[in-house]
Amino acid sequence: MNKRFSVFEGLLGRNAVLAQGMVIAPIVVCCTTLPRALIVCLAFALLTFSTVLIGSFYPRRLFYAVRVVLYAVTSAVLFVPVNMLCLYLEPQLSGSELFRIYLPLLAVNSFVVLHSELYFYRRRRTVMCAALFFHILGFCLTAACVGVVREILAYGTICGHVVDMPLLLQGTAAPWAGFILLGLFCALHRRLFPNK
Amino acid sequence: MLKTEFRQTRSPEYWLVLGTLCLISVFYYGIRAAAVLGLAAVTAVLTDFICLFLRDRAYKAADLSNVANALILALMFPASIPYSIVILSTVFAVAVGTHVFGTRRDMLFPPAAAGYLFALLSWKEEVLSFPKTGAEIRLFGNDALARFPSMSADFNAEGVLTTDAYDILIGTICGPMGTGCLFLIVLGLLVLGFRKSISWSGVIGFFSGIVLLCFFTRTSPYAALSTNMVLFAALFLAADTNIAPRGFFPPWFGGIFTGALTQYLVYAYDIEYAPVVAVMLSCPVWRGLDALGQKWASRPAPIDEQAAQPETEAADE
Amino acid sequence: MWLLSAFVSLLTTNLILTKALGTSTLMAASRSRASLAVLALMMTGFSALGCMLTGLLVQLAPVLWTGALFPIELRPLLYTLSVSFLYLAGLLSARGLGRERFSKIKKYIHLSAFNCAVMGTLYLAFDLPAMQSMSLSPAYFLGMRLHVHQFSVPGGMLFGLQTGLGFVLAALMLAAVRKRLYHEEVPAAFRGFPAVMVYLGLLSMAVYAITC
Repeated sequence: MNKRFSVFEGLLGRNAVLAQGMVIAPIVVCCTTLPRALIVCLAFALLTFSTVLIGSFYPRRLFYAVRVVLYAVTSAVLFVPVNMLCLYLEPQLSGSELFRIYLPLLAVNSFVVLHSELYFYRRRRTVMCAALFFHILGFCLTAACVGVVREILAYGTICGHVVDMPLLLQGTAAPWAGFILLGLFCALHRRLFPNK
Repeated sequence: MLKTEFRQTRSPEYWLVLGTLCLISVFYYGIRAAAVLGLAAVTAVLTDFICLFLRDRAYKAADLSNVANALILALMFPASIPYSIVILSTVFAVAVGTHVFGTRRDMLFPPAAAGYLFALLSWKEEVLSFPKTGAEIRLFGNDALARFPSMSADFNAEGVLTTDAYDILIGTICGPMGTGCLFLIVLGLLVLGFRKSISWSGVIGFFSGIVLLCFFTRTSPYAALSTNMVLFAALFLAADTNIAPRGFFPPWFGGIFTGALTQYLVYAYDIEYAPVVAVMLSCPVWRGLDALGQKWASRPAPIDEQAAQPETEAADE
Repeated sequence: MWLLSAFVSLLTTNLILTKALGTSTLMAASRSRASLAVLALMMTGFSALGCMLTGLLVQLAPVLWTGALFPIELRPLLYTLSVSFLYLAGLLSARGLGRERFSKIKKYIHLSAFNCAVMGTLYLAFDLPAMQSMSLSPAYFLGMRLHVHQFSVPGGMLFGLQTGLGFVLAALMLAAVRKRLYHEEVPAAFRGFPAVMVYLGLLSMAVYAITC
């Protein structure tokens, strides 16, 4: 059954992470605190929006495979200033897994190499930009929520400010807790926004 | 509301064996052990009730199976474990280990194992340090209580079992509340095995796997079986009929794999909770063996048997 | 004994269970036996060949990784170009198998190439801090220490192969219970993807407990 398209659907109803299971790795592994989650959000937002927008100008005459390669290469080039900005904002995280592995991986996230062709480039450019904005916002909302919850449970802080937690669950900073928490969030999302 | 319909997921003998182990832990560790076990049971009932309410289902008497899971989980903890850890790990075991995947039969993972690993990874120090048997443990305020590594941890570190065999048999060792009294656990294995409340072939396979690996790792089978919660895990985790594969050969092979993996983890990583980890990692293998077993059971009859049927029918005519 | 060692090694170094890389592809792979076989083969191939190609680049031009002449931020571009080359080569080779087979295989090539697991393998195999010191650490394969350098062509290839085998193992573990996770007994809110996440989380928990 074809659902009616809405520009806002990427925010909640068709949330990239909770409804479609995309770009899971940075959330599960890296979003252990709110500052880290915000860095992931910033990098994802800048990379994805700019790459998909620039990619929309590439000629459709090119073979699909060549277009995908161009999107990936564009994103990898745009990664340079994005990485520099993120390092400037959080220099203490420079040697961490977040900057060594997961931020570079965002350069080839499924929005850029897959979803752009299947979903975004089928719309007019203005509609595409608006839909892309809300999809990115949906991802950022999810990442931030996961980051806040894990920071409170694992460290008893929010953005470094101590919260009065009676008991800390140190294990929630590990990837296994990210998987389970994401699964619980997905279930909650499904309960609130069931597929009709 | 408790309905009168009673569908058993645990037999009366199972409750008897579990209850005996709970009693022995109270005997050795006093009122604190009773408080921990009681708290785990109450938390399990409440969590079950809330989860079933959220699933729009009525609470039935058979749901007491999660009380058994909570007691198994609590018996793997030290008697001095903080109450908050007991509550949170029981909630995790019941909610995530049971309700997320649906039923109390044909479970994917043993809920007690899931809850134990959750507690271990979140509060490792509290879960792996134990008071001595007979130590005076108060209901509250045990910060000054002396805690020690378990007998199994000492064995894994040194490679030699220095504890007296009699102490190991009756359970007066430093370790989890309910996993030390080997005499009762072996008795429980025999009782439940003969009553078919546990998977006999799973237990035999589990022990076979351990003994087989002992040959390669040059460990004494006696030491391997009497340490690291092995017998307790064999009784309550590896041989649970709600989780182990069905039939004869699948649980046997599954048990061998789990036993071998347990012994390997003890040998290579020196972890005293190896059976719990091995059971969790074996569950997908058990499901695969289940599927193979069902496929084998539903295979068409051999051609000779099929051809024989019309001949017998003709002879009858 | 070696089998158990290899099994545990594949779990403790598994990209999905320890680093959550390639989870979406894992779900696609566990749908059917055919997709599992094809995706597993392609993922392993892309990982191994990608690592080999990058290993060759490291041997030929180690200065690319030290950051002296070449900004470290352009490393993703190098890896993307390596994988792009393999992706296009893979598609061209698949075209040679005939139109019908190509139309069946191409979607798997699209899924396997620009994939978190494959790209993540490259980042992990050629981890920047270790490479900048050019440490002569030996390569490991299925728990066995080998007599090749970690950042060499054979070392990289074996790392990629191990990653692919880890993906296969994780896919088999998910395929074994997939029907169960989509069963009607599972609460509707959890049925499917949420239950898969929790299942992977519990397996990841068990793997984490081995090394914690």
